[in-house]
Amino acid sequence: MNGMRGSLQRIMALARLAVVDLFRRRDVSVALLLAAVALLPLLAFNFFGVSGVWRYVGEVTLLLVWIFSIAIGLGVAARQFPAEFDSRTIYPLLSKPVRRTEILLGKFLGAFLATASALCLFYVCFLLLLLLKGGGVDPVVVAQAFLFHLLFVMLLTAMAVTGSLILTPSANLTVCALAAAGMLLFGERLAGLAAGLPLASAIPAWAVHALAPHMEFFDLRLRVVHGWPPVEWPASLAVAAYALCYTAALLLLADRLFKRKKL
Amino acid sequence: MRPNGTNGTLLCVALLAASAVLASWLGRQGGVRGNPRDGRQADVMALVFGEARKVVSGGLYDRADLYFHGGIQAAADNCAEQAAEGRGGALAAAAAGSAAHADEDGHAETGLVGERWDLWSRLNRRIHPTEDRHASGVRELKEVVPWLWAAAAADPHNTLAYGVGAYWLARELGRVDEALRFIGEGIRNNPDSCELEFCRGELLYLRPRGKRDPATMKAFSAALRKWTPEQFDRQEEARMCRRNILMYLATLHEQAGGHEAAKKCLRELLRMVPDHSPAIRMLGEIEAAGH
Repeated sequence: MNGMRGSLQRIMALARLAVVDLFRRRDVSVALLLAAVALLPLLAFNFFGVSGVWRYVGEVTLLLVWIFSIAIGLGVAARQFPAEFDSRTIYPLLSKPVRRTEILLGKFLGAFLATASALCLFYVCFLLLLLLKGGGVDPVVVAQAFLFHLLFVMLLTAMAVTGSLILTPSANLTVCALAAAGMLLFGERLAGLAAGLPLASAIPAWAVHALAPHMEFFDLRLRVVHGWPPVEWPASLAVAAYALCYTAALLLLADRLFKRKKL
Repeated sequence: MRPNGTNGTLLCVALLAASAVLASWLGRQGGVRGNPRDGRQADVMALVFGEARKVVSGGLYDRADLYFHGGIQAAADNCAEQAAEGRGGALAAAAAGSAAHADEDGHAETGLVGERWDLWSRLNRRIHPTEDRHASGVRELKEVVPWLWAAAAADPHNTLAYGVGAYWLARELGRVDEALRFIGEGIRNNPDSCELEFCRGELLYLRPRGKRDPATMKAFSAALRKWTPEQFDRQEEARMCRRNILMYLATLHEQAGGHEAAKKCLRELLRMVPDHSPAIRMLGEIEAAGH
């Protein structure tokens, strides 16, 4: 029991470093500033004197929230290990009574919590903007969208942490960004695309459909912006289970890679 | 070189100030008062987008169509295909009062593993709405307006955006004056457009005492003068537009006591459509009255 508590403390200590680092680097402030610069002119519009028009602002704001969450999540997660390797601070860390699995979990949790804290801030800003524009959103749908977004961030950071153990930092960022954007944009249409292809091309398309992380599961912007009801609980639980299983699989792979890595 | 704290703060302040200035400038422009274009703004759009603005404008118009369908692309596509007059998609058909809409969800995917075993597609359908839903009530209908405005702002020659936008403002939101201003601006930007003149005529006609307003007659007369078959995608569309103009003009002339002018319009209409029953009835009534 004590061993488990000690392990958890070590993981949390490592995670705290990533959160502090994110806010020290002012990534979030820059993202918020960019969002403010983009949204301020949008807020000034009043079309034909029609008041209470808010969905266009909601859509653009949520799009920015998604873009910034991907940028921050990938940025934080992808630099966790390379920074330690480059500055050689990994050696003193490994010389301490801390297991490689704990380091990996600490790094992953740190990246996830750092991005999640930025995400909280973004959603608060989103709600404030809607309040300013008189937007009427269903709080249950917004809460669900936020939780789904957290699951997305968890999967994304796990993917980037795993990638950072196999690829160079720039290659890792490129692959993860392409995978996330590609699946968000085309994930829902992959099955339809595969169905329309000849067998030889359909097999790889089906393989991608079956194995690639379906990031589009977590995107509830449509429901928030267009006033659709929340996702039913069985489907929500299925999405949560999908994210947890996929993240666990990626972390297991990362653990194996990290343990085998010669340092 | 990494900027120090003071430089960073100054940059932030400068960016925010620039954004606030832009917001205030946009506020002072017509866009805020429903008149999205004047010379300066047109220049800015041309400078930023160039000829690509036609594509941008089309995309923005499609966005309005998408908003009308609750954000569901498949539903918007289905409706656009089935819209009665073809041009302008479902939004144009809805604005014109057409009931041509589909109720399918447009998601029938079968493939290598079959629908039953494709868990991801099934889950996707539970997460992302697929039903066809049309915006209803002022609260939802007004959300379409920014995109129609933006479509017209991006390309001042997008007559469809002006026409549908004006109808939307007048019929769905009850803002006839704003609609007339918007269509007036469309006519200024497209002085040869028969459709926009016709649209203005209809908006004026629908106003209280609009049938007695000389401006209504003037608008329909201008529409008839500007009518050329080349302005329309299909010949049937062009013929229908001319028929409608003639019928409105005949009604207006008849109400104003211009029986000869009304008869002239009705005769031309009957040459185009010999079995046009309202025209036959109206001509019969005028002749029976001894005019």
